[in-house]
Amino acid sequence: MSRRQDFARSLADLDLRRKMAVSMAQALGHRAARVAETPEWEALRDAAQAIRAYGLTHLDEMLAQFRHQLEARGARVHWAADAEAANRLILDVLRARGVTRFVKGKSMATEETRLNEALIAAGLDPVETDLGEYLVQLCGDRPAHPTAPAVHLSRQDCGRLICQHLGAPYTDDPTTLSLMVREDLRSEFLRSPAGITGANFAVAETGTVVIVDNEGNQGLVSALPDLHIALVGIDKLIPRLQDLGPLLRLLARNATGQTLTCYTTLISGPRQAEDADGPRELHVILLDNGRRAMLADPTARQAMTCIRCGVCCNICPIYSKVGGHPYGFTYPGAVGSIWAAFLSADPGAEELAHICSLCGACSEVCPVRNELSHTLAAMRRRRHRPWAERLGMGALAAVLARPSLYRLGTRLLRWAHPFRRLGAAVPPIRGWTLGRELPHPPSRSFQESHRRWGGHRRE
Amino acid sequence: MSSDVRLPGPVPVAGAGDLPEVFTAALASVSGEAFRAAGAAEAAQRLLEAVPPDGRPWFVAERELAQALGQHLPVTWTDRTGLAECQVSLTAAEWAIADTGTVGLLLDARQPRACYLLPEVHVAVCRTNALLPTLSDALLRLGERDQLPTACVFVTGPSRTADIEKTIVIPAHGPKRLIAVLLDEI
Repeated sequence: MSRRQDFARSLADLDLRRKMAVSMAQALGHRAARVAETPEWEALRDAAQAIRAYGLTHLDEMLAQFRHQLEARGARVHWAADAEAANRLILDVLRARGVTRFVKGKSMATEETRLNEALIAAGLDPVETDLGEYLVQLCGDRPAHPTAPAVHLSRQDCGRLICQHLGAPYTDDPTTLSLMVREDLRSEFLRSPAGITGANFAVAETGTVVIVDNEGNQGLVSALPDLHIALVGIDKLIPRLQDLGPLLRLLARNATGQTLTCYTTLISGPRQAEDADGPRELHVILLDNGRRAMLADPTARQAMTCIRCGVCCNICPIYSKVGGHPYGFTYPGAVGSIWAAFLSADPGAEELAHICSLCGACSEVCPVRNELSHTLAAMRRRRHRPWAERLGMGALAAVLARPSLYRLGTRLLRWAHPFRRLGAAVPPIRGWTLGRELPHPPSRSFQESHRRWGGHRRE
Repeated sequence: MSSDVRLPGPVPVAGAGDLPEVFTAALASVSGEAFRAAGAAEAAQRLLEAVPPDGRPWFVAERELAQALGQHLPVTWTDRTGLAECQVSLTAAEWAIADTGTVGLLLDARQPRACYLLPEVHVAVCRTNALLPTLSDALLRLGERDQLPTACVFVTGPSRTADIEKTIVIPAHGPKRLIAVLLDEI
């Protein structure tokens, strides 16, 4: 019930609606321009789909290869069964090296494990360096979008947060604000003993962690400190280096409408004896946290192929109105609603399968051709349904199967229409009528008109 | 990889066109700059016009292409310890990618990991004949090496952010300018 209220609250927030409308339209507009100038678009999607589908059946093989390659270069590869294990591993590595304050690159995996909260509780001091995450950290919030964390904040919100934090006079000019944050974080980069990042892909063949960003912070976080820790979901594995080609081209074009992000960083080990610089220690933590359960589920496993471009959020008639927060889960939108059923500690997260109009817009644009709305519909069908719903659907099925009952029903509905508000008082019906207006039925049904105009009825 | 693999081959790109032209236009569309020079002396001359030295030292990577240009420049050189304070970082790109206006850098003993990020201006020198149509072509070349360098990066334009109401701001944490130099001959 509370998730429902969260959605209702966001939906009623007209300021949020305005910000979302502008941002989503812009993201989709840029994407459409890239699609139009990429004649090989569908071929790229075919390739991306095939590459990611391969991962569903070869995960163990890829993980073993990835680990072998990275360890051969002196990196440490760890397994984390769940969020707590991952946070514990990271805390242990940081503590053993006496690290307290350190820089972080944007990472949804660390949002998923709530790493910052765990580290702060242990007395550590993580500093987010992506501007969006920096803003989200300043207001003690959570990201509202997988690629644009601060999409829910206006420039005035950003101005207040940044100026207050830095003790500067108020401005809401995005350029001035961004440069102030650049200045503030430059010294953090230069003195940080450790850097934590996520990964966009992990290449099995070469043992390579791939990170994309526009700001340059991921490169600094992974290059300057003496210790680099990357938290990588096991869904990020791809077989070959060359597979990055179609995946990266699709990722940027879908996410931000860029042809490629500014920086694509490929890290295949810690600093070697012959290297000029780079961290002496590289730890890669491979995170399960429900992913293997999703992979074992024939209905949902396809969602593991997601590359987190966020286009299913941008195009979603629901997400694009309310943003990511009411979902109450790290990954919002259609694909997030599938992931939540396996990754979320909240048993109520399965309810998210019902927060979807099944319009299928997401399936049409998904770069890896995930049938997201089909999956959500299938997940709904196997969920335990409340008695009122089962009774109602059973009755409806009985009526629809009998023409005479159906005709009687349409007449009854017409008579009952003036009393429709009474339905709002009955709890199981209220869930349906709240926020929906029962349309006034026409004075004649289609069948009646059909007969009237001389059509024949077939029984 | 095992033999049951049904992984796709590279996706061909329709109409690659004249690579230097495509590259220059693509880089310009992401606020980067590019010029083509016949030799190192000419390139250095054009570079000095584009980036007048302001007295701060320049970082010059220990790679042939960067050094070739660097020796024609009337600037003080710094090593990697001075990266945070220098004006320009002069690096050597292994490949340039026409389709997206991207330069690909190997980061190793002769080119430190942070060199392209800390200075205000990043100049990447690339041989004109190392221009490739797409990222996939560069990845195939990279994969042909016996071993990958522990770090490499593909750079597409100067650093940027759009986290405040989607307004694009340049720079974010990296350089304010990216200049690609296509060199026909050293």
